[in-house]
Amino acid sequence: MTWQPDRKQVQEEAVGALRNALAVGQEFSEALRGCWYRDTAFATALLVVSLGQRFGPGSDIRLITAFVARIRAARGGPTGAFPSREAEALIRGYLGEVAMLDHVDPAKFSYAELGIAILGRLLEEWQPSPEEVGDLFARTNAVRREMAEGFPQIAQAEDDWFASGMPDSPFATFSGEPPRRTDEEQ
Amino acid sequence: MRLPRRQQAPTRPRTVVGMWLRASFLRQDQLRDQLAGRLNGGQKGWNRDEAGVMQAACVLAVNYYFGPGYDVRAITELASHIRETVMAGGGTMHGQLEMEAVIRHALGETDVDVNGINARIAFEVQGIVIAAIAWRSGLAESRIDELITEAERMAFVHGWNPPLAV
Repeated sequence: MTWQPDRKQVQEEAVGALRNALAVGQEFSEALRGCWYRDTAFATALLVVSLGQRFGPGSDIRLITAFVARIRAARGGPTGAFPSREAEALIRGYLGEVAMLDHVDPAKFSYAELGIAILGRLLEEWQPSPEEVGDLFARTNAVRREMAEGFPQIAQAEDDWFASGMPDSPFATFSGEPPRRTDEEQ
Repeated sequence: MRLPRRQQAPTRPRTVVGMWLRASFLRQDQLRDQLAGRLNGGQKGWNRDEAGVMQAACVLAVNYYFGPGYDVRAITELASHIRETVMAGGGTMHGQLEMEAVIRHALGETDVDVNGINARIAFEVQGIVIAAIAWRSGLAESRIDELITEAERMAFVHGWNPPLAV
C-alpha cells in the first residue's frame, strides 16, 4: 500500500500558497503551477473569474488576440512554439463561446499548460492588491461551488486526475529549469 | 463597403488564375476544370504569382463583406458555416481556427498568429472564403469581375506576375 497524502490538504495548501504569493506581491509562477496541478477545478474557476473581470461579456475579440500576442512575445522561443490560436479559443470558450472549446483538442494541447500561461499573464498584468486578491479568491470559491453543483462530472474528473498522479507530476513543480537538489539528497 | 471601381481598368479577368477564380465563383465547372489544368504553367499546384492574385482577392472580398467595424464573431460564424457546408457534402475542410486566422490576417489584423498555416492551406482557405462570400452576398457576375480584375491589378502593382490567359 502506498502512502497517499490527504487530498483536501494538498489542495488547500496549493490554493493557499498561490493566494499568499499574490497577496504579498511575490513571484507567483511556481505557486500558480502547483495550484493548477493540485486543484485544477479551483484554478480553472480562478481563470474563468479573472477572464470575466478582464474582458467581460461581448468584449472585442481583438483585445483577446492582442493579449495572447503579448503572452507569445513574453515567452519568446521559436516561432510558432506557443499555440496562440488555441489559447485564444480557450479564452473565448471560458468567456461563454463554448463551441470554441471543440477546436482545442485536449489530446494535442494541454489545457493545464495553456491555462497556466493565460492566467499567469492575466495576473502579471493585473498585479492585484491584497484586498483584490481576497475578493478574487472569494468569488472563485463561489464559482467553483456552482461548477461542482452544475457539472457533477467535475468531481469524477478530479478523482481521475488524482488517481493518475497528476498532482505529483514533474510539471506541477517547475518549468524551464531543473529542480534544485535538497540537502537530504546531496 | 463597396468594391473599388477603377476607370479604364480591364472589365474581365485576364490571368489564368483570375479566370479560374471567375469560373469557380460562377459555377462554370467545365471551364473551371479546364483552367485548373493551366495553373502554374500546367504543373501541379499554383505558383507564387497566382497566389498573389488569390491573396489580393481575399483581402478585397473580406473587407467588402465584413466592413471596417466588424465583430470577430461574425468571422467565426462564416468559417463555421463554410466548414459545416463542406463537411455535410462529404468533403474535408481545414480547421476552424486556421480559417479564422486566414480571414483575420486578410483583414489586416497583425496580432493574429498565422504560424503553421502553409501556402497550400492559405490558398485553399482563401479560395473557399471568397467563393462563400460571393455566393452569400449574391454578387452579380459584373461585381465578381470587378473583384477579380482589381485583385489582378493589385497583384501586378505588388510585383507579382501571374501568367495571362491569352
